[in-house]
Amino acid sequence: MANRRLRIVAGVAGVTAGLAPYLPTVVCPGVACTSCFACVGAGGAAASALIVGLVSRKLGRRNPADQRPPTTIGEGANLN
Amino acid sequence: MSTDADSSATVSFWSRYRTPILIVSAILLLPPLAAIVQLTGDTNFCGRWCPRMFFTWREGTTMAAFLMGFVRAYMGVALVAAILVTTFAFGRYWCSHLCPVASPLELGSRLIPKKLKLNFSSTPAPSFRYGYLAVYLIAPAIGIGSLCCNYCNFAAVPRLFAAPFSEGDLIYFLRFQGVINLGLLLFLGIFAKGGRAYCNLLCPVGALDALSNRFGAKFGRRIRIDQDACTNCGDCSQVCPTWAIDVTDRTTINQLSCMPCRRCEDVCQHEAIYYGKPAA
Repeated sequence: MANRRLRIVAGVAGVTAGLAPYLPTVVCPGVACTSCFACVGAGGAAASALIVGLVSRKLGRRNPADQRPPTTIGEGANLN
Repeated sequence: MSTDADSSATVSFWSRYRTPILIVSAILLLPPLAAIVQLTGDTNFCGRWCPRMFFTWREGTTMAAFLMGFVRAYMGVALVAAILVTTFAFGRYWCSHLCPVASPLELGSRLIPKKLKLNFSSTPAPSFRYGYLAVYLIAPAIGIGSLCCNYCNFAAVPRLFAAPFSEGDLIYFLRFQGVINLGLLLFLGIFAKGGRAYCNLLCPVGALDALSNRFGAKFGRRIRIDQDACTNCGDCSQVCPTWAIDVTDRTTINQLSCMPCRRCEDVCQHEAIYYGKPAA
């Protein structure tokens, strides 16, 4: 199992991914577009948060097998 | 190994013919042929075949209108019900072998050089998936909008195959939502290691299917590990497209992510992985 912090980050990233499409309309200050780019900023922020969440594997390696040298399937390479 | 495990002949069939089954499924369910979908006069998974929208409650919707959604998308309801029931008993064969939305993503990812592939395998997929599903279900209920239909994989993939033949479908990919959807399919599908990141992170049908898989794990047939034979070598976790195998202390399979693609079973040199009911 992934560690608790990683799971929380992933959960927040999932919620962010779900909310991301709504953010541009939430931050839009007016009916007519004034080219304030608030929507672009919100979309960018949401996308950044999503990417940070998705690459959160940097926070912790889940799988010790990832840290071993690659094995060659078929040659009986058992590193244990 | 469990005495209830399938015979090797059965195992080899589902493993050996998975790719042809995925291709046939895509041909029968996706444009331009879409032979099965056209039985009801439809050309894609929208309308009667929509498997995603009927279970979302929208603010201000009456119970009668909510139930009418089930009637309107009766083929989608039947499809999802069939998926959940078969998954409960046999595992996620819909996702691994039959889903026409996942099929092009996985098959496409096999054509991408390994150097270009993105590896999301250390992302805790269930946490992400159910965070997204929570927004998917709650947002329309509290009136801030719906992720249907603009961000729908069951709309985007069929439209992708219909685009060369239909101006309407081509225009879809020139709109904002179409571009975003296409990006997600590329980023989380074709360029993802295993081609299943979209399925594992964002697909609401897959999320429901995974719950059925998890809750039925004590009763039904699943991919399982014989701990006595397992040496914790980690080969299985390297090939798992849904990042379901954890080898931290001892090798375990997360049934919230596992689908019976059988790749782990194929690579296991110790015959420690089998498909069957739980050992008595």
